[in-house]
Amino acid sequence: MTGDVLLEADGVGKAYGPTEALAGASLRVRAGEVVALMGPSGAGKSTLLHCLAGIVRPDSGTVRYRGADLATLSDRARSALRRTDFGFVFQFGQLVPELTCLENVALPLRLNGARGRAAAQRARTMLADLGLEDVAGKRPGEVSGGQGQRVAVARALVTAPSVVFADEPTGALDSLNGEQVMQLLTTAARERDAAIVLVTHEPRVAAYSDREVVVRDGRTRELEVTR
Amino acid sequence: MIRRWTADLALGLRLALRGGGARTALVRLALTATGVGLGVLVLLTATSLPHMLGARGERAAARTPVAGDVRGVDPLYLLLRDDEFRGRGLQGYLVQATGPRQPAAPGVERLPGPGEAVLSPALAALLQSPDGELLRPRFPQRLIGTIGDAGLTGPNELFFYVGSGMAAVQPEVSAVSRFGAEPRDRGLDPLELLLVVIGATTCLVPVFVFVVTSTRLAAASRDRRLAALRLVGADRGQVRRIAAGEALLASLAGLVVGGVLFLLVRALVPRITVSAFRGGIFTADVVPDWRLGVPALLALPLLACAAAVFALRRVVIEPLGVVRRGTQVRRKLWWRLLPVLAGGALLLSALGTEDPRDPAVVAGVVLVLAAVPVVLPWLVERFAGLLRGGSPAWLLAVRRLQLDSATAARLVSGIAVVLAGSIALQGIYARAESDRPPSGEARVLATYFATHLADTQAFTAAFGTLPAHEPVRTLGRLETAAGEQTALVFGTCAELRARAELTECRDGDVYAAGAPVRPGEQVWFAGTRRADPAAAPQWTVPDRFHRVPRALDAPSALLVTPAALATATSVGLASSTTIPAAGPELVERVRNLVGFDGTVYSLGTERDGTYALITRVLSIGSILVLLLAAGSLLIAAWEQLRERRRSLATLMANGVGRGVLARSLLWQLAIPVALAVAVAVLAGLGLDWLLLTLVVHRQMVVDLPTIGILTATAAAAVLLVTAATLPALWRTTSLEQLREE
Repeated sequence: MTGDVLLEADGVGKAYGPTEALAGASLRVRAGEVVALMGPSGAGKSTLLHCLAGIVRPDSGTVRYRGADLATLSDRARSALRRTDFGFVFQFGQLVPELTCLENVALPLRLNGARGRAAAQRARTMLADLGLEDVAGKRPGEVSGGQGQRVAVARALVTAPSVVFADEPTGALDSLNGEQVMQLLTTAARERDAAIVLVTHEPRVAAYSDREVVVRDGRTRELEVTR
Repeated sequence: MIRRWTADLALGLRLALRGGGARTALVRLALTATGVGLGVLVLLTATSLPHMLGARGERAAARTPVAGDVRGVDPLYLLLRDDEFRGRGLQGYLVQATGPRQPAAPGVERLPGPGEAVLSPALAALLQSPDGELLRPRFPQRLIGTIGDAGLTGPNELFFYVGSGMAAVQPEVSAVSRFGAEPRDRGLDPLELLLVVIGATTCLVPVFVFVVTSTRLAAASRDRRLAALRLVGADRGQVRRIAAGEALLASLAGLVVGGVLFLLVRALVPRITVSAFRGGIFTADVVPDWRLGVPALLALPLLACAAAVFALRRVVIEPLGVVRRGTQVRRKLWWRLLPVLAGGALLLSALGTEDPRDPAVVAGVVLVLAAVPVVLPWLVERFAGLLRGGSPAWLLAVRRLQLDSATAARLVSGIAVVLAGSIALQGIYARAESDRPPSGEARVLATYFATHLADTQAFTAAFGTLPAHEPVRTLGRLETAAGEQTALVFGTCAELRARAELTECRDGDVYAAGAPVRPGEQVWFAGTRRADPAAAPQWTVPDRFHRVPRALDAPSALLVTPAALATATSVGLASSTTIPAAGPELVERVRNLVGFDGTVYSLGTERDGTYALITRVLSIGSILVLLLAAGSLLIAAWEQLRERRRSLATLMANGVGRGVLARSLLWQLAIPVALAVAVAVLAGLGLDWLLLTLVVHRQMVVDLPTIGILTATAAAAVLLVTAATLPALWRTTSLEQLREE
């Protein structure tokens, strides 16, 4: 469980206007581990996840990925990281509605320069691995919410990322579908040695993690949890 | 890198076909393609003008007669006749051969001899048709052939070669040895080029607005789509390229649409007969100048792509979604006034030139028109800012306009430019029209040239049967052997008494008023002698004539009665008269009476060709632009409903009636359109005032009916667009829209 440190946040602060979302949050994520960020609404969980993923630039503190300060990277370099090293599963809205599920899964590969046929082949294999062959030709609007989230998992993992960021991945699903998605996500990530940073306020979902970190008032506190 | 860029553009193309659902994607594609297609049509037509004029000039030059001696060619007497039939130009030559080796006229197999004619196909067809019944008396000759395309400037040209036995002795005849002058280099002169540029730009402004509006269709879903792409690793450059790719497909489709439209218009060109292009235009002559056309055509897709990318300038697409840059800066007026001030200054600088073609005037007009879309956004913003609450519908509309006045201003700017141009030109046209005689009545001046006295008398007798004409006057010009000239006034004693004080008069008498002729002297009929001195009619003045102090017609004149001139075997006399008010039928009867042995001028039977062309182009242009503007308004209204469906459904859930929402929609459309019309009327009338009152010093005529029609059309467009939006509003405000995704 404890590989090298991949991601390291140190004293991260972020404010949106007068509202302080993060006030000196710190966190380390090691290769292959699943970390759950817990906390009440408005505590800063999602903001921390966005800072860790290089989507949002912190006002203070540093976020390092494999030792490199994300704040010093250009937009192009951070975009490239999102294509190659990171994967994302959000609550909803992350799939491109105009593309089929297969095309959605192939999209990060295509953006990374892979040729169409090769990208489609890898995407098809990923969907098959996750038991989603049936929805390959359908559009996101034509599949159920649970299936859509599983397609999002497939897309997040297709580039063999080092870290998957999941923000309330089961937030819009019923409990049964939520369980299935979490099972799929954590199993598939572990098989591929990918770390997961998981934002949730549900203990049931957090139970899939190796470690729980509570975010409250913009600060982090590690919980001692033994699984 | 090229592969990456191509892949990004290809992804954009793919999304364009699927974006926002297949139907919306296709509608957006079709609308953008239509807009770009119309732009392509305008550009191809505009770039065809230089070649069209050049080819026309070459055709005209090819049949231009050239005088001078050419070895082995028998000169041809040629007399140009410029006639009309019901407002259509009718032109041709009276020809008289001097030998068998005639010069060859282009498109004509054999030139006609006396009693024969060669006609253009259009003229031959007109004579065959019932419409040509009144024209037939003018062409009693035997038709021996038709003129080929090489001898015509246009397919509908009414042109003829009529064989004549007396062309040689007519005034203004020329002895021609060949056809085919050097064509003048008839490209576009700088002023014409400027006018074409203005015309094309005026048409392209609304087209461009339409393209931009259609690319904004489903913009919200596009922005969300691009945000999703950012999340999976697309950088900002890729997002822009993908957006450009989406616009590129529509642009390429637009190129095809425009090309097809151009081919259609080109095929229909021979059917178009406008006075400015008398005789129409051959399809083969409509060829775009590729040096201008290719860059212009390439520019269009680039422009559409640039518009798509430019539309993203206020939108920051980040992986987490779309952020609109909300910092609204109040628009500044000072720089927006610069074009109108510069335009006004240029027009004022042209004071006294009295030439509306002065480059300063043209540039001034362009600047004033260009100022309309520049000032309009400021005006819409300020006006919307002044509006306060009233009924809920009004309040919703006003607040919406206050939130985003730029879209509304952009949508109506195209309509405002063209309306302003239309009002200004219609005003000038109304001024020109008010100078003309009452419609339907023409002032006709007919002149008949006769080489035999009997013809003169027959003409005078025939004219006597026509109603309400002034007395026929017959005049000639005599020249002595010494080269001295004097006027010849021909008439009966009664007629001559009206011209001079005659004490007694009998038929056969001759009176001299200061004329340098001696009794019994031989004289020639001047004007005819130039063509062939030997063939010029001559006359021996009687041995006795009376001297009178003076004649009304000339200081030096010989007044001759019919019997006195009967000794001349041939003469050269011109009889003329005026009919102050003739209807169209009477005008044609006069023309038939005169035939090609004279000229008939009529003033007031038809509108001036250039003005007629401008009016027609303006009417078609205004309608097209209004349709485009209405289309843009409709797309924008649909798009707004789509984006606001949740909030509208919430309003409905809270008890706001659909009627309120419908009226709010109506106000949102009506307020900017009303402002656009007001600005257009002010700009149009202002231009009229500057051009008419200050530059050409004429009294301004306000063409109220045109202003009324344009205003009513704009109002109708608003109502129609509102009505067309209502079904979408009913669907959008369904409470189903409140469901979460």
